[in-house]
Amino acid sequence: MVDLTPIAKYRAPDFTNEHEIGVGDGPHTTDGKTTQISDVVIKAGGQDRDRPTEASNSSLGQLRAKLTSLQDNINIFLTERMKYAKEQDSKDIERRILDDGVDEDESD
Amino acid sequence: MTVDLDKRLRPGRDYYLALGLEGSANKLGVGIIRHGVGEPGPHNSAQVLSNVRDTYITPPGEGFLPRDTARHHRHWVVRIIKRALADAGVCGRDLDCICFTQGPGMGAPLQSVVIAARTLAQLWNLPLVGVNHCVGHIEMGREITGAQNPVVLYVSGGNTQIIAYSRQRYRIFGETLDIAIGNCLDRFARVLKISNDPAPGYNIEQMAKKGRHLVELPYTVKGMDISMSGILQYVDVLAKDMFSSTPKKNKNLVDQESGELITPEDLCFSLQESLYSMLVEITERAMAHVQSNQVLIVGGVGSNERLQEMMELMVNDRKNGSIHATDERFCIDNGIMIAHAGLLSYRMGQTKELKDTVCTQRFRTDEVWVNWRDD
Amino acid sequence: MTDRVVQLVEDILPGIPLQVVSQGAEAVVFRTGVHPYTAHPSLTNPNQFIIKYRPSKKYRHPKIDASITKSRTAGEVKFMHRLAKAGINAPNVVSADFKRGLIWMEHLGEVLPSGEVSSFKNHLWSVERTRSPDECVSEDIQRICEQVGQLIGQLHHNDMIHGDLTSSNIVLQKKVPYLIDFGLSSYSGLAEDKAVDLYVLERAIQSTHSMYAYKYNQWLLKGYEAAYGTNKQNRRKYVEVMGKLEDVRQRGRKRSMLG
Repeated sequence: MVDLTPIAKYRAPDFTNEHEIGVGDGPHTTDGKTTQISDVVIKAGGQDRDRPTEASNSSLGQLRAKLTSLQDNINIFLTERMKYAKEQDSKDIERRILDDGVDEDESD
Repeated sequence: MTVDLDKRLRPGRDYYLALGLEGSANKLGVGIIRHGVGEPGPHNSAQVLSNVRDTYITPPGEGFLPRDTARHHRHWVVRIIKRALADAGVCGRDLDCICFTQGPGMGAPLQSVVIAARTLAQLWNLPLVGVNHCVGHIEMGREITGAQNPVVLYVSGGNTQIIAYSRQRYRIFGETLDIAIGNCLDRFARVLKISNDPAPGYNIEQMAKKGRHLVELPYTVKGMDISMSGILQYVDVLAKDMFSSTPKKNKNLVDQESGELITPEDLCFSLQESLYSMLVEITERAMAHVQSNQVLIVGGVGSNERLQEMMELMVNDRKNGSIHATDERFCIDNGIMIAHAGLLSYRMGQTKELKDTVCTQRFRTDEVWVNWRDD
Repeated sequence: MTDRVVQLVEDILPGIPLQVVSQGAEAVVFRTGVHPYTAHPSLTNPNQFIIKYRPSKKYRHPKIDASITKSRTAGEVKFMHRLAKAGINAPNVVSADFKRGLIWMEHLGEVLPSGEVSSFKNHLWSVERTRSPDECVSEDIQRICEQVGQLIGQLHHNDMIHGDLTSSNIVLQKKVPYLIDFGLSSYSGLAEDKAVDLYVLERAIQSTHSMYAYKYNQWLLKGYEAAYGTNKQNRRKYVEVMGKLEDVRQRGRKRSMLG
């Protein structure tokens, strides 16, 4: 069986180096952490009939499972980035209000 | 000038095969169509080899969220494609092209399905064809019903348009000025807590059959355009009072003649009577304006029996009038219409490079160059 | 169609000769030589009259139908009365029966060589069909378009909204435009309502006369602007309507987002 392992690369202007995201240690399944159905649906009494099928034992099947893990890791990474960007943003406003007396309403 | 639709015929073959993928809203559809060589028409009609669909259903009171809908499509698309291929008895390499809905629609579901289309195209080394969802409905409707040059009423979850063909475009003569008819029905169903299974509109239709009293609702026609948000606001207020402990306090909730309380069934009945009257009226306006006597109803709401019945009554009063509608296999979003319209484009040489296959939420019906027609 | 409708009108108006002119979406229009109450009407054309009849629609619930027929017939007659007072080109009312949906009015327009009524639409179509592309954008057409625009400008200046502006709802008599069909009319001083009125016409022109729509619409708006004159206050109103028109157009483009 051929071992197919995907990776993802992330580049951004404020990143000096390219960031590489891998699939992690596993075990890998198609049931991802970040790709579940929305809570609101379950809370409203809905059922999840859209679960992915399990990965087969072939190399393509294993690739599917690893891709799900990779997607999880990408989602986690990007969520962190967004959180960080937001923090920087609010810090920036704080600094500008203190330093320059900028009105908060002006920056949106 | 006649259109040559056979420039891309494969050597040694006298037909074309296309696979279509649709997922612009909560339905995921895959269909395979076969066109015989030569000009399409009554003697050379398209053949539906397979038409498989799966719908993402939400609990009562909930609309479908883009992310969960996209997830549904992602997780079902391979299974549905496999089933469509098996039903048709063809394999990937027999196909001429892969057609996909390029818009309009919800972004996330569109994205998830176009990825499947790109994958298939690369797997089997086939060209991609982007299809306008509305044009898909129109072309499939024309093919199935044989309506040559009808005024088209396109009514679905996200669209309400009156369309007629002129000079290689499907032109929009009238449309909603605010929300779409299907959206209006869905929101109405949510207010009255009507089930989403199999579809809110269907359940409203069934309840309406039991309604007896008509509540007069706002009726807004502006030229060939209509507005529906007023009705929704009005019903919102009524529904709140209806579910309160003292419904009698609202005089609009009591039928003037019989003194009986208005029921949810009555509201469904009144909603249908008002909305569909408005739709039939603007359709008739468009027919008078372009001097056409054919109507074709397409889109998910088009399978509503009361709408079809009202349209028929209107058409019967017009000289040589005829009405054409398709059943739910073709009315409700499906992959076969995308395959059919896509194959027409393909045969005229309209294919997409991989980089041009980005989907767009906004894609107006009149943006498409209908070069397979020249009447 | 119309056999049933003709029979209905003949029953209401026994002995009145009727000739079908057109079947619109909501009304059938007849021509007749008979005036209901005088032998010497003071109208430009004293020998011919129009009878407009709104038949009940079988597809509508009787309650909805009765309310629409009555309100539109009454609305149309009142609107025409106000138009006459304001001196805006439109047919004069002769008599009316609101409940039955009947209006007797002045006859306007001629019969084109094609046998059709000389509506703005039929006129443009016949030019498009039979003449060279140059003649489709001739000075003559430009003048008519500008006059149509001016007519709508006058209407809006009086805070009157047509509600169904299309090239079918404008009739040419000796190539001078007259407004007709006021079943969807209303009164409003809001720039928004005027803008929607214009937008409906703009779209109707685009879809019905797509080849030269750009020019036609340009000329229509030129005439519309002229109607507001140079008075500062009126200019401000005009600018406000144009601003709203752009908003309405944008909304139009943003619509149809979902499949």
